[in-house]
Amino acid sequence: MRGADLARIRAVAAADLRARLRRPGAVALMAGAALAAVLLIPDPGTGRGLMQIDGARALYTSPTLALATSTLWGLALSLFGFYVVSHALRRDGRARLGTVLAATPVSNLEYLSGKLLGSVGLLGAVSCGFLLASMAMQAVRGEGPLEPGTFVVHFAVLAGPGLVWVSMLALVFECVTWLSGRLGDVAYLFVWASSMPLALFGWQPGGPKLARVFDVMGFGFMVSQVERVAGTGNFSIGFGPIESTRPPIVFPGLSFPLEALFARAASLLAPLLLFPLALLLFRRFDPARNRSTPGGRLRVPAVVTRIAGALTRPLLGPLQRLAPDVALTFRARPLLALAVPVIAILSVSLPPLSVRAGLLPVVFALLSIALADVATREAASGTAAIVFSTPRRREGFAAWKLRGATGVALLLAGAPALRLLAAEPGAGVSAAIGLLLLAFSAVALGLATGTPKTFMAGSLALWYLGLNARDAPALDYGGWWATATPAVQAAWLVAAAAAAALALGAHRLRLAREG
Amino acid sequence: MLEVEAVAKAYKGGKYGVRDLSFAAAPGVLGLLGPNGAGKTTLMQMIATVTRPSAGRIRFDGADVVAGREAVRARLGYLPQDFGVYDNLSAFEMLDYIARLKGVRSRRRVEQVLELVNLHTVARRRLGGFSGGMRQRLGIAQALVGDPDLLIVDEPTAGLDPEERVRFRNLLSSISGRKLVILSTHIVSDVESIAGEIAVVREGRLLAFGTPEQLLQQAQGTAWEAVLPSSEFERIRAGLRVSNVTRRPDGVHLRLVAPERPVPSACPVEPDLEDAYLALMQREPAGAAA
Repeated sequence: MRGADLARIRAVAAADLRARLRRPGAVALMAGAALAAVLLIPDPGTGRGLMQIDGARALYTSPTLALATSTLWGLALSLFGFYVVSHALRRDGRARLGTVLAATPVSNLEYLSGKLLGSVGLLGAVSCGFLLASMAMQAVRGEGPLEPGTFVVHFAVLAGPGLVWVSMLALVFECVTWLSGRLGDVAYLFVWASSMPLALFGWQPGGPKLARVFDVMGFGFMVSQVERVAGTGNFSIGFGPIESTRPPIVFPGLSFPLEALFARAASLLAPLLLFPLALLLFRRFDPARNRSTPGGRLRVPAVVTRIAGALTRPLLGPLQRLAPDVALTFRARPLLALAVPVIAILSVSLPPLSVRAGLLPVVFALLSIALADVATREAASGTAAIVFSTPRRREGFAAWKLRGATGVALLLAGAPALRLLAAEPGAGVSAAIGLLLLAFSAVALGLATGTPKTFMAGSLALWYLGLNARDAPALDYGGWWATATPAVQAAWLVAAAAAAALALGAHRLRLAREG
Repeated sequence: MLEVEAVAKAYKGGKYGVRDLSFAAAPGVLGLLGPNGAGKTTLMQMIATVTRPSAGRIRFDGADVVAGREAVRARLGYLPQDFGVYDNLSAFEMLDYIARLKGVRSRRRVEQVLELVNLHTVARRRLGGFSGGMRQRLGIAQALVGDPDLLIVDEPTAGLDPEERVRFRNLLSSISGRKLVILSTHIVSDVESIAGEIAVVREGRLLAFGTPEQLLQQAQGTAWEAVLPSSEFERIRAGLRVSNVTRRPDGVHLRLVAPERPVPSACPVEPDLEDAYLALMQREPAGAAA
């Protein structure tokens, strides 16, 4: 590659990284990563630990802490990292810088390479923050000498490929029109969830070695290596109570055989095979090519939009007069408006079990999409000043948004929740609390962070956990499994109330700052 | 030399942004005049290699803007109508970023251009705190930083105060010696004093192309002045094309544009460029019925 090419790539990456690291969200991210390290490594004296093998607590030595923290970080990074680095290209478009960049000699290869490096750099910086905080915790709570090299190697081998993977996938998703919006955010969750069994499968004895390439979060590699070193598959990693009365043991740490390192290197490089796809589909901010899909959203054929508009007019007309903010959500997404009567019909026609375990999870996923930008759309579209100039709206903006989000949630999920309240009151109460939780969290996180991505990532992660929480009543926040106890329901209700308070507080803080 | 040959830009659904547009422009300032939605921005985006023509050909000094876009981009400075910035970078960082994309490595050059647009004293300040006018000046700076041979500026004076507008006009005038500057606007006074050639577009078609003198010549006999009582003016104003109104004790002094005497008391006057532009806007574009 020519020298000038590298200089341009460096310039794009540096500007991207600089712009992103200077946002308040990046500081919050760093602080969150450091806090996560503190919380993840509890004081063993409190009866909690980080890693147990065969019923014995592993002492807090550098190999143990490096393995556990890098494993958990790899998991978190591979899921949330996507939402952190996504929309890097759209940001240039929204900053109204796209056509300027398009008219410069920078090639698509240089620009996309720079953006990829910018994303890798951002995630790398946050990972370094977490790594340093983990080492600091070893210094505070460690039960052995601090070995920085052990930490660095574990993080590089276990979490490194995930860092490249999410950056690459975020770039590819953004170049594919129909994956570049909310649908892509939801689709990524399924990509992430499906990569886990594939990763484990590849590292099982006799498993196809090719599948190891897809072990982006290093989970399969970690499991196989711990089993090999500890001689048992009975181990757990993660903050939790120490259940054993056996004396603590010293975990010797992972070794990295050459074959395993090659597999990890392949996982690191494999995502780059997707780069040509991004290059092929990148539109280079061409306004004519973007015109058909405003905002990079899935293009709904005009005829479908017209039909949806005609069918939902009886609903949206009165809604426009009663709650214009709610109506706006549905007008912006006609298919979502069409989903309201469909969900209502299904709610009364399906058996209660199907409503609870089948329809409700789908509706909650839809809610994540519908509610994500409720609190941020005015700022994103530049209409905040207009809205704030209407009577009482500036001071009451957060409360107005809370009402609007609740209205959207009730229209979409109200019918199944009511059906359950009649048929299975316990699950119905959970569903009602769950929809309030989502509505309030969407507004709170939107107002606090200024981006819909925080809510999107959080709600989808919660959705995934809830879907797999058949045996964990505490996570049954939407009543899908009908296992939540009154105490659990009360806890989620408190969380919803806290979210509402955060929304009001965040807006008040903003008003105070603006004077 | 810029050659635009039968260029069109079609969108899905059969709509055209630009249609069958041809002209050739030599170094100097080319004023691109037209009302909002005339196709000026689309034409400039095609010349700036941001979007491709659906038909026709655009060449700059022999290089095709589609086939040879890399060569054109290397000699191009472009300021779009809605220029934006990264709010959390400083003016210097932002300009240095664009400069590097254009292959300019000299920090001195970046400082020079910031000085040229009078932003050197705030070069280290975050762009988030810049006014609209300051951002616009940074936009002009980024278009100039690569010392382009072809400078395309779309509505560049929007957001600038009167003093900055004059300063910017003079700046364009001074750099246009051996370069081609395309200046798009719907404000006639922006191009009046500096444009060597003017292209007038409407509904995606070229209405006129020539020097200001040629456009004025074409407009001969279309400019009128009249003095009317206020009551009469209010009664007939809807049917008049007025280029200027001044209320005085003896009535309303009007400057009117019409192919024939618009009111009995009107006297013919020498047209100015504003009159010429308004007279052109009354015409049907050639081939509009097609």
